[in-house]
Amino acid sequence: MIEPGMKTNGPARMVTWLLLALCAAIALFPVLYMAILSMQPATQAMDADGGLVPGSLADTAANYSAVVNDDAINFPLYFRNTLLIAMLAVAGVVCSSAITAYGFARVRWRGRQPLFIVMLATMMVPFPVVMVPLFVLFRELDWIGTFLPLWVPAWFGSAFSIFLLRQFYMTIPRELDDAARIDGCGHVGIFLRIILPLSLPALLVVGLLHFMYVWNDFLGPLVFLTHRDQYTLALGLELYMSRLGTTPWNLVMAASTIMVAPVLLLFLFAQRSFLEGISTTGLKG
Amino acid sequence: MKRFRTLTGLAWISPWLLGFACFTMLPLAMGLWYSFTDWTLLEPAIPIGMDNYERLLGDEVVHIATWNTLLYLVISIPLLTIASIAMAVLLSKPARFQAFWRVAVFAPSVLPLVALATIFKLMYDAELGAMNKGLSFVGIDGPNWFGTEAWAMTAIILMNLWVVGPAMVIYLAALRDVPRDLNEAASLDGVSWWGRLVNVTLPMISPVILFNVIIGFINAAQVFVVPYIMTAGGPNRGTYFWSMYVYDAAFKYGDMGYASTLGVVQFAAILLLTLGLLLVGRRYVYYRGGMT
Amino acid sequence: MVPAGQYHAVMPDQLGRTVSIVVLCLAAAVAIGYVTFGPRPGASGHGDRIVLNYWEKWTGTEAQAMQQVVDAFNASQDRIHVNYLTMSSIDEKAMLAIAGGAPPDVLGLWSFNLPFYAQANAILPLDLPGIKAETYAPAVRPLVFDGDTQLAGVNTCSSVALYVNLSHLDRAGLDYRNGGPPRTLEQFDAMIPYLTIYDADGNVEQAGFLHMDPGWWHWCWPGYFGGQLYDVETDAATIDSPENIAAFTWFQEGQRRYGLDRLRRFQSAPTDSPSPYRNFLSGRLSMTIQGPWLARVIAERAPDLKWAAWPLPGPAGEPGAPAGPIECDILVVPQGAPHPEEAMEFIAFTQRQDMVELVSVLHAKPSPLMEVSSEFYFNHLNTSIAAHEAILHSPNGFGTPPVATWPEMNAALDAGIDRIWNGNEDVATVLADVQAEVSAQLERARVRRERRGQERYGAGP
Repeated sequence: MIEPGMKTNGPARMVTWLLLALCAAIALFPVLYMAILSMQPATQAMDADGGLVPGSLADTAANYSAVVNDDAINFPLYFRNTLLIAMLAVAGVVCSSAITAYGFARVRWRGRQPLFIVMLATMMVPFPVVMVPLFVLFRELDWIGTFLPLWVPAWFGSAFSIFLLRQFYMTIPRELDDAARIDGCGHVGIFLRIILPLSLPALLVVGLLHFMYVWNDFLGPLVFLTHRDQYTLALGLELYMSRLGTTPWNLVMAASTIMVAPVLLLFLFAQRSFLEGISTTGLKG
Repeated sequence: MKRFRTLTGLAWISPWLLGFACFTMLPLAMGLWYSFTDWTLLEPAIPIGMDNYERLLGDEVVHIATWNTLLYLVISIPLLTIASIAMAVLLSKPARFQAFWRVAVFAPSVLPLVALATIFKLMYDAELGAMNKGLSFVGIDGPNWFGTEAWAMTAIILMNLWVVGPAMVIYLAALRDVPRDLNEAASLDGVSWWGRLVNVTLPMISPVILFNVIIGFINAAQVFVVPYIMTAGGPNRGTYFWSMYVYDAAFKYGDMGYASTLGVVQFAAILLLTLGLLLVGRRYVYYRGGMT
Repeated sequence: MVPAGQYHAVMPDQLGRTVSIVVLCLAAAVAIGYVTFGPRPGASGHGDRIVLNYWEKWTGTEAQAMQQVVDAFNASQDRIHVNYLTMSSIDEKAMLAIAGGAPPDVLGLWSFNLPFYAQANAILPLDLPGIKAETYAPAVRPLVFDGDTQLAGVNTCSSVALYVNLSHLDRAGLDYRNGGPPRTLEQFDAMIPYLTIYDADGNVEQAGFLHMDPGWWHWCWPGYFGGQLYDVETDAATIDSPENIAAFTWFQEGQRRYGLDRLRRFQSAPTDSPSPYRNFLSGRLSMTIQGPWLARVIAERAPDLKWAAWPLPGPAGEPGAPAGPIECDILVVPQGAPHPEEAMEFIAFTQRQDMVELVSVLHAKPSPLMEVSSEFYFNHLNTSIAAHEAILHSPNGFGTPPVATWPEMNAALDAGIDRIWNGNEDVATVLADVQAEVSAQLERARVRRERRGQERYGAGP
């Protein structure tokens, strides 16, 4: 007796394949829509019957140069600001989370388990809840209107990254520690010589995930940045779009593309480590 | 010796511990204190006892924001759960170009929400948008998406379905762990495909479902960016969510004390509901022997 | 515990891994290079001049007009350099910046922001040499003065008038040449059916008048009926007054005349000039209320359109003294501004008659000042500027209520208006709800002032 869908059976495979293609098309549609519209001249993009075909190369170039050379909104500068904040934050998160995760994974001490649960619980604190007090705190520190509120906290680790790294450290065989200990290594030695080199891929994933988090953050910059020269791409895009009526959609889409492209490329390039990294967070440890 | 080990442990986790104290505990404590004060942006706080909490109980806008947030949670979380499990099941079937499909379905999830909301704002545009053009293709006269409360809420919930990625990937990993022999045994007993899904696969991955539901709940309970960009909370506050009220109260109306109260209540609600979900969920979740 | 094997996939094969690392390093190098050598914020390289940051809401042509004033100021002396910066949602972001202790020196706001900013102590009172309340048109004075204290300078000022497509009137046989503009609301309402054209399917092809197009002045309808939203004397909300019920009933009529479904199809039909003005510019809407800048937009995008602007008639207006909303673009010095004295020097410069007229002409707006030069009209872009001036100088012109809780009040009103328009709800019921919400806001504000021993904004002599 042959079960449908169980064995390599033609029609069922065909259905799966068609469903997959349909879902992928639906999922990718917004991205393609954005890309295509960003290549159309305004007359076509704003015409209801303009269709979904890109305009000429000259139209595309015109759109992007209009966005990049806008007199009020300096996208190249915002790109740099976002990149700077993201790099500082990523460096901080990777360093501090790597160290903290070691304390949770490799040092046996009283209070480790309760504190670990507290750390997981902090993932439940939504940003809007601490937004107002943080604003006051940073005001006292004179940090409002600087990049500091957006990257300094990253140097104290993020619960999510620590959790992910701790899960990874747990998979590194303890025998390696013991061998190193016989060679006279302390915790620092074990961390530097064994754990760090072996967990490079996981550190990469943590860095990538945090890069995307910072790149995509909107509410933080909205509340903590004041001066227009400090804007990030997320704020720039909102500023650009809020002039709708004077800014045509094809240019808004070109601006969106500029913001989206780096994360999308990064994801496509590192998709395998990326997806594996996310799936580890669902595993029980 | 024991104390030394504890100190060593604390030293290793000190980066996080310090950050936790400064950027989580301190703000939470400050927020709690400010919630009992009358405090405007530029003037000192004056303690006023429970006044802010009393106001909150009778505040019509709070009722609306609570209702909207709950409505959003109740509809979008099951929808997202079903969609991400369905996608994971589909992607776990052997098929050609599997890696490509997975990346394609995941890709929208890495986009900045600001950009995604911008794209969808155009897609929902009654005049130019692809949504209504697509609907008219199959003979449906598309709605004016941001014209009524119900459609605006639908638009936001629908857009969320493009962000199934992270949950889907976690389900995918969980599905891979479901023992093959269980499924094969069931299928030899003549259990249908659907029966196997409901009676074998779903119970096996139920801990992961609980995990994803909780993460999804915490994320959805603080929804801000998408309605801020797409609808600005309208029409008639139909898409006005709790986090937006916190922001407006603090920075638009200058009422930091009341905003802190709203934040404290939001946090308490999320904490309690998460614990509730965990407790209720535990009863229905199936743990394989020895796993916990 | 998780078996180690599950993570094998994290590590791609050796070659892939090397490639990954090389590419990532390259990406990181490019990123670091871009940050180090890429664009930087505009250096304040203006010698030893004091640099003033001036935040303004305008972009495009309107920004260029203001830039001319800034350039003139920068050229007029060698001590101060003003830096013009465009912002979005400027009123919210400026408040954050002031509260955060990093405000600009000069801030361009709307007149409806002023009471909130003043009550919150977020702006400094101005001391501008040679400028008195009498310098400004009567309707402008209460928008920038609190009692005798000047709180803001005026950049430009607009009143809202009815813009009419004259070709449509001709085609409909409405004889405005001999009959003149409509003098009463009844006359105006009677014109609308003549200007509304349906196609064979019953869809609106051309609409006579739409209250929600553009829908920027929700709060204005009561003013045409002699109603107000707030009574300054008693500090009380008057949202559900008979005049306001009449006004919003008329507003709701405007929707029922067409029906929500038809309106949706009308608004979603494609036009060739996408903008808030698209229906009027493309000849699908015969009459619309707009600010004077519409003349500039028409000149740029639909130069062939035959148009005129008249005051919208209403029970409160009279032919010699029309009713209509008035708004100002104002300049303030935020609390904590790094260079308040220099900021006031700049604001005083912008209040010079020639500077005010320069901006007003280029924005196609009337002048907010009492004294107007003859060249002003000679150069003016708006051929119907007289209608805007009539409203501006009329005793029946009105602004937003001088109340510090306006942001909250406006949010409550907006929600109510959505119910009246989209929900077809009973106007009196909705306004009673809004009245209750707004009264609670005012009561809270009163308690707060008492706690702090503060004066109410607008309560001064």
